Amino acid sequence: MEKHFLSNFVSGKSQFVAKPWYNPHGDCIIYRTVDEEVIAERIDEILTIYHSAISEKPIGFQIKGVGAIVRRLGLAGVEVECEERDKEIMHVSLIAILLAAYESGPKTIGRRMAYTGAFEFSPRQTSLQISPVTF
Amino acid sequence: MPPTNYLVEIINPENVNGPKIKAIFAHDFYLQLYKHSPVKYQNLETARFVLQKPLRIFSGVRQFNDGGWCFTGKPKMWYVKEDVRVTFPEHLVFAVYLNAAFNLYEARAERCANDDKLCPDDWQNRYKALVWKSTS
Repeated sequence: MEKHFLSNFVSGKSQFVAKPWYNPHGDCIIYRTVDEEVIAERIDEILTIYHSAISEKPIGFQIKGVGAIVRRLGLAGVEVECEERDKEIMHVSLIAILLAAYESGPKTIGRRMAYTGAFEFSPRQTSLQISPVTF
Repeated sequence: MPPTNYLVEIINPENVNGPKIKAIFAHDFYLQLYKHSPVKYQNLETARFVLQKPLRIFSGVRQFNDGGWCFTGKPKMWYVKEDVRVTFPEHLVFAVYLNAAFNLYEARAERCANDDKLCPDDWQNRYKALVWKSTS
């Protein structure tokens, strides 16, 4: 197998973790339940469903525009806790973000089904660490 | 080893006939993929290939975030699971997303549009503009 072009810049253990994470470069939340490549199905401006490139079954999702959601709702609407206010780090509820995303668009059957799937995927009581200074 | 961003030379989507610019694979981003998403880390190779050999470039990829770019291409191979490399399917296009600062933030397959197999489905409604097309 060819050497990965970034192999000189990484170290430590590599192991898949099925846990949502906030990507500050894309201002988005990413969640995959299995370590398989995905085919993206864009539902609306906010939600994209990830389908397995092997089985085509839904295996996760991406929520875009997290900063806009937080700005619209205010921190009180999504914040779970803020341990390090001085460092501008807060924890937001994944479910609250998903709910706000759903409420922001038209109530079509297609959206409802897609968001239902995302809710069913989501681990319960999950909070994500994000930095509001990136918004 | 200090944190090192990896730079890839790309067509400047703001000036497609001008000098090339650098897209950024941010250290924190690729380290996150390396540690927790092995197949996505492996497909950074695919993302780099598409950035270097794009077939379409789109501007304005987000409603809620200014700017942003999408480079699409057709790699010959890609990883579908860790260490499992297969032929890239004909009905898909590989899309690589850069933010306004040219930081890579997403790379994935999408279904091809009916009118142009090198564009993602519904590209007319999703992006602000098609800014560049490969002529080869």
